[in-house]
Amino acid sequence: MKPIVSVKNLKKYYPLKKGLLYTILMGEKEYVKAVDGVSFEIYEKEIFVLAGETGSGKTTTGKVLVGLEKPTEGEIYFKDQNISRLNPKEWKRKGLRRKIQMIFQDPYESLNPRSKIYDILAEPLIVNKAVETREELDEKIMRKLEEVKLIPPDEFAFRYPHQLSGGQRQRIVIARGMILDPEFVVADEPVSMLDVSIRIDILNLLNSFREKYGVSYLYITHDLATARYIGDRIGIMYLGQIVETGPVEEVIQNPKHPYTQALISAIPIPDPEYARRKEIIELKGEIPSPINPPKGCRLHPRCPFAMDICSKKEPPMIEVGRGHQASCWLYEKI
Amino acid sequence: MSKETVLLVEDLHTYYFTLGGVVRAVDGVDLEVYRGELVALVGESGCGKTTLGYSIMRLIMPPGRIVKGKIILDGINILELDDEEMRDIRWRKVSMIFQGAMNSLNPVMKVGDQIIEALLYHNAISSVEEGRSIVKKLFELVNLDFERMNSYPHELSGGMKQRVVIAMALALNPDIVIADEPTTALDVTTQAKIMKMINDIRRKMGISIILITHDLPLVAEVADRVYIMYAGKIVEAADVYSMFKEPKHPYSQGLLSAIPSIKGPKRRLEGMPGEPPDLRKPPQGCRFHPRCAYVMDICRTKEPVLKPLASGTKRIVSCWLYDDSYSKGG
Amino acid sequence: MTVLRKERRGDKLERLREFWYIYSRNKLGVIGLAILTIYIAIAVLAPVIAPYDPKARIGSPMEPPSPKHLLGTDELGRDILSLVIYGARISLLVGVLAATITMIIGTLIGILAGYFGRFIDDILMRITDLFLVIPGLPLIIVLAVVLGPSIWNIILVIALISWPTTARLVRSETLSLKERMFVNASRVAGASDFYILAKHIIPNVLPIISATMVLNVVNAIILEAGLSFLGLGDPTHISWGTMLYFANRQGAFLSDNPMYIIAPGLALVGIGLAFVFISYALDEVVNPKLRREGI
Repeated sequence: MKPIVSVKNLKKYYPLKKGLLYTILMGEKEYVKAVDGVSFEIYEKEIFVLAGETGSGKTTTGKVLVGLEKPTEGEIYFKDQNISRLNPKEWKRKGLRRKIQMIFQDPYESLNPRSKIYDILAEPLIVNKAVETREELDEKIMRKLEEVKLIPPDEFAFRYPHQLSGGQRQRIVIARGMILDPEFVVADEPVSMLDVSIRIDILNLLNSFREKYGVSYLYITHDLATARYIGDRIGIMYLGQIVETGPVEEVIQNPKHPYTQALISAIPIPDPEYARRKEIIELKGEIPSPINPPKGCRLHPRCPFAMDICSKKEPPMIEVGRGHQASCWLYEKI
Repeated sequence: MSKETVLLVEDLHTYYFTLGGVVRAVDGVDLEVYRGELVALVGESGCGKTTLGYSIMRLIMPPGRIVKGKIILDGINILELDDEEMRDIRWRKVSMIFQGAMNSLNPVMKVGDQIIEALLYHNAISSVEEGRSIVKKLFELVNLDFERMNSYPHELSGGMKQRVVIAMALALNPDIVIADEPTTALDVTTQAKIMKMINDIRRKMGISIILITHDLPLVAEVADRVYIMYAGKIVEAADVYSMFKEPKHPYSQGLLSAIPSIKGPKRRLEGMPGEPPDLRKPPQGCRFHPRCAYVMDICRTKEPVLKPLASGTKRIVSCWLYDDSYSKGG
Repeated sequence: MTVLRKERRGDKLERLREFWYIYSRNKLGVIGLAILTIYIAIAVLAPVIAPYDPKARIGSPMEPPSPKHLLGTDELGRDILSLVIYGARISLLVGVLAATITMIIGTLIGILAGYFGRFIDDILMRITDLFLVIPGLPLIIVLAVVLGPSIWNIILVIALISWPTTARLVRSETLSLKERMFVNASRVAGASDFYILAKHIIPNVLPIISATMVLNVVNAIILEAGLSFLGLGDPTHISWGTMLYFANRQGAFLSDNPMYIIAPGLALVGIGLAFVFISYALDEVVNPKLRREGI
């Protein structure tokens, strides 16, 4: 099976703002290495999860994929097309905007408070000239509102975002992401701002678009419980790199990389008896700065299993199970 | 084992008198906290849980007002105290870790000085030197290097800032600490460390903690008892084991069945239909009835009372399904 | 199948009607508009309304108000009511026109600099800084010599020295807006920069623009007097600004006729209020959150 999206050695560095004098004296510029050599593939109708903590680079990766940021290095292929160096005009001309869309995290921030729902949903259709007549526009907007379960649609179409609840707003955000019938959608923490009782419905909604239209997703999250609920495969990110990847269930139940193990052990389990028995694996200290990440394996200063080689050489991705890889020297076959 | 009650809230009503109408944020709440226990107060945004916390601190500002009820702290009804007396109790007997407090530290002041200033304000110390020694003890308690007291907030990570905020709340050795979403803004690994620390401190110092949160898995992990709040009312209370094993109130059941987990069988979950009500005009009868799958006629007209499930048990629930005086199924 | 209610969708005419509907529900906005209309009517109809020729000496100097001269007379014995009525012509023209030009230049530069950033921002902001630091007085004197005296030059010069403040304000607002998530969302939807500016940035900077507009109008009316004296205009022409200047020099407050300073002052307050009220109502139109229920 051919991947719909493949990312190869993606890097995104942000130059650090320093004075001119500093640059001249020190001779080199410093960078925040937000994403530093990330590769993965997403197949048709698949939900690939990028999970990690604050500053792991997961959101930046998502932004690069939809063209909001330009990559510093590396390639992104959508089907057979290299899209990593395209400018906004080319995105539009090649029809990529219709095929690749994004669902944003914050339902309060990502809708213009001064636009009616109708205008918010009409925007992607109008700027991409995806409809020809007024009737077609009405029809599409109405259908999408129904699909995201905002029924009856004309109850919602002429309201403003602040007149809707958080859950309803997030449905609007999804409707906007889906209105061009995209093939691939980046969903950046789509439920993290919502109340627990609403989250599941939103996840089920995302899933329904996959089942109905075969949409593939990159699902970005810090919450492994929702990742497990919705995802097929997962990449765990730490300091701009993927440290472990594989089928979600396999990675969560049988984590190999020490970082993944620590992360998973820290996740609360909604079962008091189990929760009180489980051991938490603690990493020393805090996440280092992405400006000068540790040499060798990035986890080694915090890792309870660090060996000599870990501080010297960056570990490669090592096969630890069926489709399950971890970037850790512990698993190197000698 | 006899339990000593530290805090007793009885029939508390806190309303906000806004232009758009009276918001009944807390509308007849009963709550009991024993010495040394961690009680979780769980609910979704807008259910009144933070207002309840502020009421216990007596920090409700106009247009809000505590309309009615009792808050008995160590045998004293704090609603009868004047402002001066309350200022004395606040922080010494009951303190609060405010939501987002780690982001409201003064950015141009060293964190140690911020604690010392607060101590001075409360006349808890007579000299800065004395303050420094207290800060030293507090930082030890929350696992922060003493040198960190000379740092500015921006030099600290989120986890460290939260430790400073917790140290502040503990500075005067209170009986009860109300912790409002103390770990929501933090990463899970940091959250785990902070919660473990809070729990250790609780055991060491014998303080009681009210954990206000919407995060049920976290509650399962740390709480002794759980109160579930919906639309300004407590709908169910139980020890954490019974609550997670066998929730009784349909709202608790809905909440618990809507949370995905990384353990256990993977199955399709369903959310709850509808939205929480507008607290300016809550529905008649049981406030949950428009969203309830087991709704009966009486639920639409008469409000259920919060009472023990069976005589002698500590499990209390406010639902007609469990009321013997109302025969179910007709 | 549900059909979207057509009548609420709105083509241009619809939108205009909706705009007016919301605007007209705001009492202050209607009052503001009414004041402005009355002022304009007074200015246009000055020769008809004014009881006397404003330039003619028709009484003794500094007469207090009397039935003959409702607002008394000035130090030259001219009728103050007539002066105020005629003064509306120049003051309104200068105030509204100069403020409008200020707003257009300031907004344009502020938005372009804030939105496009990088070197466009650098260049535009350095130019802005230049105008901010150039001492106004020498600039005005130079311009007076080069351009020669005329009311149009006064308007131009006022706009030239006022726009940088507006530009700075608009730029900083734009800077924060363009990082907002809904702007990113629009970009992902494929919207062009022009579209984003028109649909998302400008409606959201409008409140700032209309607030500075109020200040600019009042400012321009007062500046006009100063500029007239510096040789950019004819200081003997009648405007509220020149009236205030002369009244102040006469110490009108302590004189027999304090109306000399109060009348043009109140006229100025009135036009200022009118613009404040209008900007409130406009804000309500563009910011749905401020609207009352049921709209």
